[in-house]
Amino acid sequence: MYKILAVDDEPEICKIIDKFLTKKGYCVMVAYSGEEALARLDREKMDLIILDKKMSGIGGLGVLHELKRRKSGIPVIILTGSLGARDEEAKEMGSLDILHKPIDLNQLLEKVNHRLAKA
Amino acid sequence: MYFSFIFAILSLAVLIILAYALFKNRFTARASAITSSNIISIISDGLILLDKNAHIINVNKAALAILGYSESELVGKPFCDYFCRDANRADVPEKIARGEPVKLYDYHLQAKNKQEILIILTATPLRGSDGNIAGTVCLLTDISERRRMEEALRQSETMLKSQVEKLDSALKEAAEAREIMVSMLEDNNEVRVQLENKLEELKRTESMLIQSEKLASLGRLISDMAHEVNNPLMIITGNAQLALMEEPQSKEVENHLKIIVDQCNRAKGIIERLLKFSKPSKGEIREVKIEEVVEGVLTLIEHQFGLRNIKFIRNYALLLPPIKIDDKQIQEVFANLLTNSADAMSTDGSITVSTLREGDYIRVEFKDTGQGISEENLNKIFEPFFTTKDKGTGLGLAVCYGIMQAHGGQIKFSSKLGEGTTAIILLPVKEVKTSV
Repeated sequence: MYKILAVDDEPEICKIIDKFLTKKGYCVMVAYSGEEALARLDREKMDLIILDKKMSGIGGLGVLHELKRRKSGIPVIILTGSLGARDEEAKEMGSLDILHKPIDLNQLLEKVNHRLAKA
Repeated sequence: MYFSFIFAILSLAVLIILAYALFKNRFTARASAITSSNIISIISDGLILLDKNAHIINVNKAALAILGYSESELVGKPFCDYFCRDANRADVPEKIARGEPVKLYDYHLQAKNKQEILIILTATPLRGSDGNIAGTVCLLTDISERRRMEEALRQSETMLKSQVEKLDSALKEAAEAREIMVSMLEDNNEVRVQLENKLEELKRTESMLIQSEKLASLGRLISDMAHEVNNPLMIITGNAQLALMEEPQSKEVENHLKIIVDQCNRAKGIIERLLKFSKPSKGEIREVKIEEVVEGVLTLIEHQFGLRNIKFIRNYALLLPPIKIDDKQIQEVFANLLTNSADAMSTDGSITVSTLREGDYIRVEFKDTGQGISEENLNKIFEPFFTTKDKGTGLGLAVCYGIMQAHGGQIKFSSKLGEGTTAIILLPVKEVKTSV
């Protein structure tokens, strides 16, 4: 079973992703900050990360930067509440997909399936 | 007979000589009386009589006055003691002695009081009955005063001339100054007009900066707000989507949940447009010809506008360079502006679409024959949610503004109420890298 880490500083959003993808047969773990996500990744191997871009602390871009430095190769789907040039920055740092909140859950599922099928 | 004839002739000659002598004696006596007692004393010029040795024998009062000597100091003295001091006229005494008439202008003499005097000296020799020089009459005309006056006159004339020259020069300077002043006044007028234009331009720039800063502040606010609103929207729509997946549920509940999801998506659409205004970004950049981009929009709307009797007049410049833009976004801008023009006309009218090169920009204009925009509304036109339409969202021009910002271009309007509006788009010929 693929392990997915959902990272968002909004617990309700983590809960929605968790419930939805669990129903779809994935093993979902949650983290509420970038720092917590990296700590979790230190302990456990993940197959995919769903990452909120704008969080307090190091934020989503900080996590991406660290993953790139570690050459982790884990596919990342970015969730963002805003548009902007930093989307390009996120792509450059390894995020392959960007979804704008509020997301269509089925669209998220498509992206997850697509990335994990390739992995 | 012969002797008597000679005797008669000799007698006649004697008579004639006696008559002449008598006449001459009378005349001389008369003349002598006039000269010595009257004429000499009354003439205003100086008169000196010299004997044949050039010694002074008589001097009139005028001569004494000119020379400053007394009669006794002069009479009996050689003429040269007093009259030969003019070094330039050293030959004068000799000429007089020889009985030559002399007339000299500006002859220098020294008066008794050592003062230099200037005279006209006229020396006329007097010959005796034997034809020899008997004496000389010297006439002295004092011209010192005249010369002084002439000199004074000359100086005065020189001064006058100098004054006239100065006046002339002053007049010339005044004329030049006048010309300069006229020119300065003209220049001033020109400078004033330039200043007024500059001031007007500054006011417009200031107004644009204020507007631009206001929109930038609004953009930052909207960006922050979008993030804060999107999270709760995500929670609402996420939960609604999860609920829709639950089985079993009534049709009514399912409908309610779908409405929640739809409205969340609608809200998402509004926020996305707001974000396009506040944090514009270019998408896919392509090199295109601007008239093709315009035509792409016109093709889509021409039929629909035709039904409202709105015509397009195309006025494209030739040989415009291609530009690198996100043509989809720019078409969105054009469509927005054209829709606004059509709404301002409702029915019947025209929109003149022009393209031209303006320095480093390609200028696209949409000039309509609509109702125009008031100055008050022109200042708010790019503000999100500002609209004069009954069903407008007030986001169209805000989005256009953001798109133009992202392209390093400009969007502006020129309008007068009742005369129509011209929407002006400026796109840089060279792609501008924006970092928004």
